[in-house]
Amino acid sequence: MFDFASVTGWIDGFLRSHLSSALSFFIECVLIGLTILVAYAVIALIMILAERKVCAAFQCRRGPNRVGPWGLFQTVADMVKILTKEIMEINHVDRFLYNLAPFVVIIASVLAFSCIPFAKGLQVLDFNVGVFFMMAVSSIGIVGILLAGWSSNNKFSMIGAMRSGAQMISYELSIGLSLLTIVVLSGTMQLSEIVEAQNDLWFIFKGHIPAFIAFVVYLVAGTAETNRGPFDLPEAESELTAGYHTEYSGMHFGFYYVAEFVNAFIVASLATTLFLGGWMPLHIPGWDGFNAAMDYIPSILWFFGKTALMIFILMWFKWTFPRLRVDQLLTLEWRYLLPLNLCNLLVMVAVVACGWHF
Amino acid sequence: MLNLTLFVVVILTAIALVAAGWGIGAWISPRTYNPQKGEAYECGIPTRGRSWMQFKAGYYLFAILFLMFDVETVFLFPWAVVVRDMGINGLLSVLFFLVILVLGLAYAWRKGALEWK
Amino acid sequence: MNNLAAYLQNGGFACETLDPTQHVETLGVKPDLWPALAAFLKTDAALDFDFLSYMVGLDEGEKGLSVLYRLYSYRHGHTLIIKVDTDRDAAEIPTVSHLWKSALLEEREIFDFFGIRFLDHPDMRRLYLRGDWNGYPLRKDYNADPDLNPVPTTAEKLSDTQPVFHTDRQTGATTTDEHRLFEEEEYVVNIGPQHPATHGVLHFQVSLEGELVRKVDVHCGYIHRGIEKMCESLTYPQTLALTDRLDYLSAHQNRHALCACIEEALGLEIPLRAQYIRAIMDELSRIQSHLLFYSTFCMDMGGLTPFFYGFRDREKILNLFEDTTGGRLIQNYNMIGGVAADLHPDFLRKTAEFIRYLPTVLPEYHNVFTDNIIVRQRTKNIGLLTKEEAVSYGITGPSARASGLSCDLRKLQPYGVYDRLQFNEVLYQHGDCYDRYCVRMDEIHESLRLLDQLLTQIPDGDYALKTKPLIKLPEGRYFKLVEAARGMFGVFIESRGDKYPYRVKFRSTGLPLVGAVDHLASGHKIADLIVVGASLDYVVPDIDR
Repeated sequence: MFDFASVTGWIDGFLRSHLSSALSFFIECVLIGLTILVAYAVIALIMILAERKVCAAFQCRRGPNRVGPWGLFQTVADMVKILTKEIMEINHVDRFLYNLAPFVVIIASVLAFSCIPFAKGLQVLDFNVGVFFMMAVSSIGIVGILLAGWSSNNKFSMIGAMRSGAQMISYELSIGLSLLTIVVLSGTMQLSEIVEAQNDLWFIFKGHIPAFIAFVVYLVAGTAETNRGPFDLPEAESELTAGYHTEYSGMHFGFYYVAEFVNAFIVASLATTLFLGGWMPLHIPGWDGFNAAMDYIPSILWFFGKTALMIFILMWFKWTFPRLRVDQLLTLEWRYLLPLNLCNLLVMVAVVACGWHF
Repeated sequence: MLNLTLFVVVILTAIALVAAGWGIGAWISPRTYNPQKGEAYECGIPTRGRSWMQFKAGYYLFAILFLMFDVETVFLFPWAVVVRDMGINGLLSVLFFLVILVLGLAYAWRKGALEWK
Repeated sequence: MNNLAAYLQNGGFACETLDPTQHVETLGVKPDLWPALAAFLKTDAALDFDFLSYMVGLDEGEKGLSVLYRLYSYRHGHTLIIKVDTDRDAAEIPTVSHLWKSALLEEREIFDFFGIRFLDHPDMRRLYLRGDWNGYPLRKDYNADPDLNPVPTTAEKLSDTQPVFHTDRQTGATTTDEHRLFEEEEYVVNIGPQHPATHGVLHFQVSLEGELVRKVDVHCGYIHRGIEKMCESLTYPQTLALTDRLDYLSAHQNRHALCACIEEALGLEIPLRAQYIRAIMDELSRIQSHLLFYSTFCMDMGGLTPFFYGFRDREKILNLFEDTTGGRLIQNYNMIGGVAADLHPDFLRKTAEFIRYLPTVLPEYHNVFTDNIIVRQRTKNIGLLTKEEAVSYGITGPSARASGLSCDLRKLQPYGVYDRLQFNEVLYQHGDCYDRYCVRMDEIHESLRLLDQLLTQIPDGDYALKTKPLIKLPEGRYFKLVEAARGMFGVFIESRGDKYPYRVKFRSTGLPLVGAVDHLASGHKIADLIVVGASLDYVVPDIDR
């Protein structure tokens, strides 16, 4: 199996052999930054295009089909367009917080993004408390949205931000508990180790019933966490016009838009990493020939294939269900998902303690 | 490289991303002045009063409950890492902790705090 | 009831019978007698006029101003018109809004256009025009000089108070008072006019308590074009062009009402084929209107996929319209004496195909939306409207039928060829948003049934009568009501024998609906306000006229 660590190791060696150690360190930092930047932007563009194509398919339409073959460059054109849109100055906003909010949202999103193990050896941040770190940075995003809503001095933004706060803190619990279930099973919080631990079998199979329940809960909560339909209450178009980003225009608004799509990608890729083995090919204990054949497929394809499937499911949610009302939203979390999650956690502990898992 | 260094690099990247996007946007986008543009958007009608006024946040109770459960999750994470090795003892030791929390949830439920009003 | 005047004389009410030639009894009454008479008409068991179907303001020149009240009793099925005269300079009539809630907005409209102050009405603001407008435009002596009312460049300052006029019992002089609409510290949000869910430029001022809606105040008039005023300076054939622009989703039905009103006034008997064509077009309009309702209802609830289903199938009806009439939204098809052109040669075949096609896709609509648990929880028991309230607010059409009120004019007072056709009136009992939705979905099936019969029965023959190029209606007052897609659409014409109408009034199907929004949405959440609005299915140009 191809290991990306060999590529990074070669670059490191190459730089150090030609340049001083401080300079090569600096160049490496810049390279990492550029890679993240490009990957972030490209994934955002692909996500937006995919969303538009998938939703068009659901709605008996074709979707973008004019710019480039099959409309592939539509989102690139859109990006250029949004860059040329005026960033308006709004009176009576809290200017400092108003301008700070997009930074907070993007920082949270990029931090979570760089934790993802895309392929073998292709991961920027790999803390030994990786899962915990992901949860922590994703909750910073809430602060950004609350700041945006509050500082805009707009009633729609304000209501949207309030909704968003309630929704995201509630579903944060479900995400935390369902991740906890997997941590119990894996015995580690480091994402790379979690993927390695699925070498013999993916966790969704290994942990069978409790893992599957945790997976479903995670998908529901993850959709809510990214403010995607049917949980798009904070920006409910037909109620609050645009919710917390009503007062943002041009690229200022673009950051929220991009962060939302990349967050959906992060949720999907985390689901892949924790439940479906991340970049790990499908291995079945005992079937050595099959496992070897699976290893021929590059790990990056495994990762993106599984993530694409997860993203498709998220989009399927969005384009099928109508929006929930705020009380239904909170009822779903506090009365159904939370108790279910707590029980599920205990079941998982019992399964692990008694060795009932595969 | 150290994770902490990378962490700083990633944060700087994020800041650079926003700054670049914003900078390019501000640089190439046209700018025209119109007094109406600076108004808060409220469906085309001037806002009545201020929006930073007293607002009944029905989410307050949920925020309190969230604090309780989120702190619980934080406590559970270290336990979750080692529960594998502790076996059935690990289950029993945390069961007591969980039961108290669930009682709290049940109490809140019973008191109607989970009704959205 | 025969001889209403005598019955009322016995009850102690002095009123005179006017216009004995009219087929609806018209009684004249003095303003000071009117409140007692109105209460008697509403409460007397033998009369039981529970429905104020519309009010018309009239400027009678030297004789002063007057208001016509057209009353109807759902129990007894009889109709009565009351005419209350008032002075031009001190135009004051006691309100009846406490008896018939539909008068709340209708009286404001008449105040706006004629300057008649309704005493004790709780809210005498202008309804359509800006508060700072000079003059009353539907008065005959109105000065339309643009200098008096220049195009405003600033937003209107919305008042937090509602003026109220009372009569002092001792002196008889009018005193003014003010109701407070919103308190200083209330959290008031404007929903509309530029809002995705108000279906046009309608403006709700909503007082919120967190997510809860405390009070909704409706502001109309953003698309007021003065169509009734315009009609007064157009010949009868010219006025026809304006009805399509009222409720553009019931364009055929609106124009059907106006044409039928003029034809009845002229005593024309139009060819049977033309009547069938009108009925076919009316039912197709109803289906496309309900399909659009489905689309917008789904969209307001955040379901964007079903939105496209509705539009996809509505497109097929618009294609049918286009073949025959040349228009898709605004068809200009009905004419005085028939329709503008015969059906397109392919029309019958294509329509028959459509009738077979639509029932095959409707189950899909229900699968994706109706049967969804989120939809059911969001619409059931939300915005409850009882049958009595529906009558009092003047609500008709599908929204009233969801409350169990049998008000389908095609059944109650069959017009055109509807008495030759078999169909059921769709009735639901609960009166919540879900029932209002279901009524419309079921009405699509009933309309398909009607179309099936119409297509098989349609005779050959002329599609129109030859009419004179210059049409003059005999002197008199003419009413015509039809069942439009969202309720009772009415036309009132007062003719003085000219080639121009003296006064034209269109009974809006949507105005009573927005009048009830405050009642239906108060105490619910913001999301419910949107669903209530969507389930009422008003069309704003029809409200504003």
